[in-house]
Amino acid sequence: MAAAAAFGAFAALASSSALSIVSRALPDGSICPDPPNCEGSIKLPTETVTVNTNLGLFRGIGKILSKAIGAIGRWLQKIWPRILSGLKKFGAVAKAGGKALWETSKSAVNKIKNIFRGDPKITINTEHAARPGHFPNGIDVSQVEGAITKSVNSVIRRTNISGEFWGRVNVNGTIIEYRAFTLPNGTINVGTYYPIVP
Amino acid sequence: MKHIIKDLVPHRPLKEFEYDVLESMLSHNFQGQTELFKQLDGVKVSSECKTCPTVEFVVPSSYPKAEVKHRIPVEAVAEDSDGVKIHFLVHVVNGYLFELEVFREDSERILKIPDIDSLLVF
Repeated sequence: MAAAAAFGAFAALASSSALSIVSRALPDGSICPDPPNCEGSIKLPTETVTVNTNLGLFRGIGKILSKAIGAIGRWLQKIWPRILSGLKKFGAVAKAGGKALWETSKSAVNKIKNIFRGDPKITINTEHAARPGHFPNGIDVSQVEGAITKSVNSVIRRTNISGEFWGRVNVNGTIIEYRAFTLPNGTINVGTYYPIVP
Repeated sequence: MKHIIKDLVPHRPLKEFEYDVLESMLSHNFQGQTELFKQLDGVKVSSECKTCPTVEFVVPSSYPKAEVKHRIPVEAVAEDSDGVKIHFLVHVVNGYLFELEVFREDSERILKIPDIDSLLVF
């Protein structure tokens, strides 16, 4: 378990991409017209850019480990009530201790599962954004969309953000903003992206 | 939905709907609004999408440049007939109107172009 956690931490670190995320939904239910400057919107720190990291192998191993950890968690969930009933013999104090232990282990399992869970389905359907003249020379659209996909994955892994959210990625020094929408089926659709410099 | 974008030669004037949307959005108060509103007189459509209302513009350089804070200084949102939100974004590049981007949150084809009055501009 410790080895899995260490591996997860490494994978999460390696997969980080430029990130600056804001949610448009404000606490009072209104829409933020200018997310980077709205008080109350969610702001996460911008991270070091790692656009070209290839984590295919790590993701594959991560998914297998995720399934294994999930199976262990389900098994623990099954047998724990029996253990708890056994603990009754030792009185209420022991039971409370057992429950606390269970909650702790459940939380740890969930955290590790979150690290290794599979990527959500992300769609990017913005042929308009990829038109000539929209980006400086030397910026490849596939590179941009790859960076956005990594950024969205990173956001989903770290936060419970949903609805509409904006993010920024840095591709070869060009800051590109994207707008993502959580659809009812859970898919994250990137509706548009563009360089932020007017 | 696949977008089919066509460059127009020669450039065409704005359609009524495009003009009305831009007029409504550029009437909102934001930095650079005055100059962008003036550009509305000379703007032409240089490319259009065959499957959505998105259009790109050219504006003669004789019109004053707008000093905007963001590439998208003004935007609007409205609902399609099935309730999915449609976003209208005015892109400004180098101080000139560059694009009116219109898309649904799920990137599917727009079912019904909303009435201008239903646009929430911000």
